[in-house]
Amino acid sequence: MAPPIRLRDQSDREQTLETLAGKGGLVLLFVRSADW
Amino acid sequence: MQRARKDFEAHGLGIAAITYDNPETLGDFAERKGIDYPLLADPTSETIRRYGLLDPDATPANIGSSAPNVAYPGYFWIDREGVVRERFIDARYDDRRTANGVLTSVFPGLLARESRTVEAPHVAVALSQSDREVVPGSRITLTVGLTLPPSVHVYAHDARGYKPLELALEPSPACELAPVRYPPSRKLRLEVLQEEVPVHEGSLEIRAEVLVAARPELLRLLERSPDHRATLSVRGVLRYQACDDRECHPPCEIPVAWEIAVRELDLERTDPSLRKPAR
Repeated sequence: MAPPIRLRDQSDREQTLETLAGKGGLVLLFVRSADW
Repeated sequence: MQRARKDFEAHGLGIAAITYDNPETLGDFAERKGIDYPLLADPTSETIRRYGLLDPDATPANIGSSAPNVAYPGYFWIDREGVVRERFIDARYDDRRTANGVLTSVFPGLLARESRTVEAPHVAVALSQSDREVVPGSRITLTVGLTLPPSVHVYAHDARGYKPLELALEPSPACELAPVRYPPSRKLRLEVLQEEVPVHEGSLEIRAEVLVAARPELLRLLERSPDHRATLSVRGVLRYQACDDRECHPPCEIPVAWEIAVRELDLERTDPSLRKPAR
């Protein structure tokens, strides 16, 4: 099972797997930073 | 990822990115770059750590910085029940899959939409690529699709003593070519010769991964180009021998080529007040 997700997004909204996933699920991209 | 968003959503997939930045930095980035999919702030890197992608020591994978606790580059596909269906972990930030590359790994049929046919005897050949435009450091997938008529086979890439299926790509100074991947073959019994030979029938795909390397020569070319873009070509030859139930046709060699548009890396940074301090 994937570790749970409960994080704030760029608009300060809380997001979870349930709010992010479509019918087919979620593709989660790991990036080092939006700054560099 | 923004450009591929509609394709992901058309296949029922939500998308999100996660970094160790705070929401303010992500908000600034999203506004400047026109990003409207969720960017998740993980400033303590706790979620990144739980996914096993924490780089605590700024290893060579995280080039260009001494910042600790960033994420290794990668993608996870998680279904609605929370099960990890696929994970794609890249070795380095200057050698990573594109969003389209991930999408076409999950849904291989997507590439067929934008394929172009190549004239070839006895079989239908179509070329496609996961991305038409990339930045240096991107790894994309080139595909050769073959469709064989009923009762026609080609000798498989692992056939010995026959003309095997082969995609031979020319070395390119700007691209690093990974070994070509062939689909599994099946054994065909040749009664006349009393032997079994590996063959391919029906529809099949040959795939080759190509890294558009962030080499100094390419970066200089992009910098000097008026529109900061360049076009790279990957060329090669497709070799095969097609047989039906009456005869084997002469071996064929078909030239193949793909063009990859490359644009300059976006190096714009956020306002200094929003930057995370380096170690």
